[in-house]
Amino acid sequence: MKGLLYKDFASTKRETCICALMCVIFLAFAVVTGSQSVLAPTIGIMIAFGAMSPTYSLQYDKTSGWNRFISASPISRNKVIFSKYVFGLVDAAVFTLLTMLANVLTGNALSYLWLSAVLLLILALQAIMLPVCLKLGQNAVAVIFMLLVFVPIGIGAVLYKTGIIDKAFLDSISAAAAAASPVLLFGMLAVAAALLYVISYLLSCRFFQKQEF
Amino acid sequence: MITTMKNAIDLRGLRKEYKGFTLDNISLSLPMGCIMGFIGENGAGKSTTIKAMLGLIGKDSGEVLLLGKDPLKDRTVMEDIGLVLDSGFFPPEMNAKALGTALSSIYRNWDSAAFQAFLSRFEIDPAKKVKEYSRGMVMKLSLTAALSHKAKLLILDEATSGLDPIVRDDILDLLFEFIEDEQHSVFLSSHITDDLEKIADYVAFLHKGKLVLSAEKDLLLDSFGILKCSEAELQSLSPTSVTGMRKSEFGVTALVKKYELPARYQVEPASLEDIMLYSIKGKRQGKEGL
Repeated sequence: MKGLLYKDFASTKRETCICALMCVIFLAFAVVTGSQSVLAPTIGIMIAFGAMSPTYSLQYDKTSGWNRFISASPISRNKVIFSKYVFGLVDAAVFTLLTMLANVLTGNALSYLWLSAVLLLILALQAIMLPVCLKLGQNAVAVIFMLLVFVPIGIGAVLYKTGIIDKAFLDSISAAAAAASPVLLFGMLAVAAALLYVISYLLSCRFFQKQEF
Repeated sequence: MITTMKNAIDLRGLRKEYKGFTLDNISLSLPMGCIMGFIGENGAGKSTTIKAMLGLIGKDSGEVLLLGKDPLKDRTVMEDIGLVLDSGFFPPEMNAKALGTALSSIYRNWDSAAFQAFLSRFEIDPAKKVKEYSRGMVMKLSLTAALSHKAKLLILDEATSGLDPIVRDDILDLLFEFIEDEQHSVFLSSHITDDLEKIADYVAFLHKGKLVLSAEKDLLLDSFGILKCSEAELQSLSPTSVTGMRKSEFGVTALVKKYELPARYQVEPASLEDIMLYSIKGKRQGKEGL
């Protein structure tokens, strides 16, 4: 496992540096301008990178031929997939920390609940992206990610514009969330994300077992 | 079911079907301490056989035992198997030093000193990235990795293809050293028959997914010969003694079983390449091949 994780970090150094550079640029822009409006896109970028990074590793292994080598090694295919999910967890933690940093540096520190929500959202997106990458490839990951981001926004916009949902309804949702116990809310989200992650892992193992190299 | 450890490799009835190609009933054995050359033309199914052996592709039927164990059921056997494939399989962005660090956690018997020694022997710069290596250096790095975890069986798939004669000779020398103690075995697929003639103890010949023959190399080379004669003379020979023939403007050239010919015929030695060519392209008195 150690060797696999070391390989993942060593071989994706270039992509990691590019991601880090983009994060630094966004952070610097937010700090220098003092603009709060940059925060939301910055958080969005962190979530996107956090969700997609493990899929780069999967794709890299496919194109470099590493999958052929590791599938003929003493490491089982399930362990290879497990290492990708561990890589994903580390990734999610790093990008959540960067999100926290972005907010602290712009004087808009997020609560632990909100930061946890960012972490769980990254994990939930990874849980969808990883098996998609294994089954359909990296191009499908990009398409699915766009659909996951824009379809809910689009549906929400259509519902709002047609009056099916209105401001009062949205206010009632916010009030209900504010009234709910943060711990209970976080607990429910954490359980949902964990369940999704486990199902995703099992699905990824199944897809990877069937692959031929 | 075969349980002996006398053989490094046992394949029994291995079959894999694709649309348009079938690897059909491959059965062969490689005794411990020997080198087997696996020859065949491009597209014969050599790589498919090796991939099925290693579990890289599924098999439709048949049994595979490597060092006495089924690699699909007991993954620990892969600790003792070193692999070199026709194209590199290491991440292009890593260098040899980082690769050694990663592999040391993958193989229990990883020998860092041996890895360093082979890197020096092959003049591989440990700080240089894999993507900056030539094909020859990539093959040498793959071989370095394969030899650095105390493997008992080396499996090489077209590892010397596309390499210059000096690099190929280096690799062959290394393989000779590897089997010196008779506790190690090598399974080497190639269509460069000259290499196999130099080092192989056994030869298995694959053609269009079928195993045409599997025999001791010296016995094979001793059994066959090249006969140059007229068509009329060839017709007078027993059909079973002629394996394949090719017409030339001066007569015919035939691959023959030496010991089935009358003593008066002058037969030249046949090479593995001759055996392969005449078996595939030669016509045996109206029929093709062996």
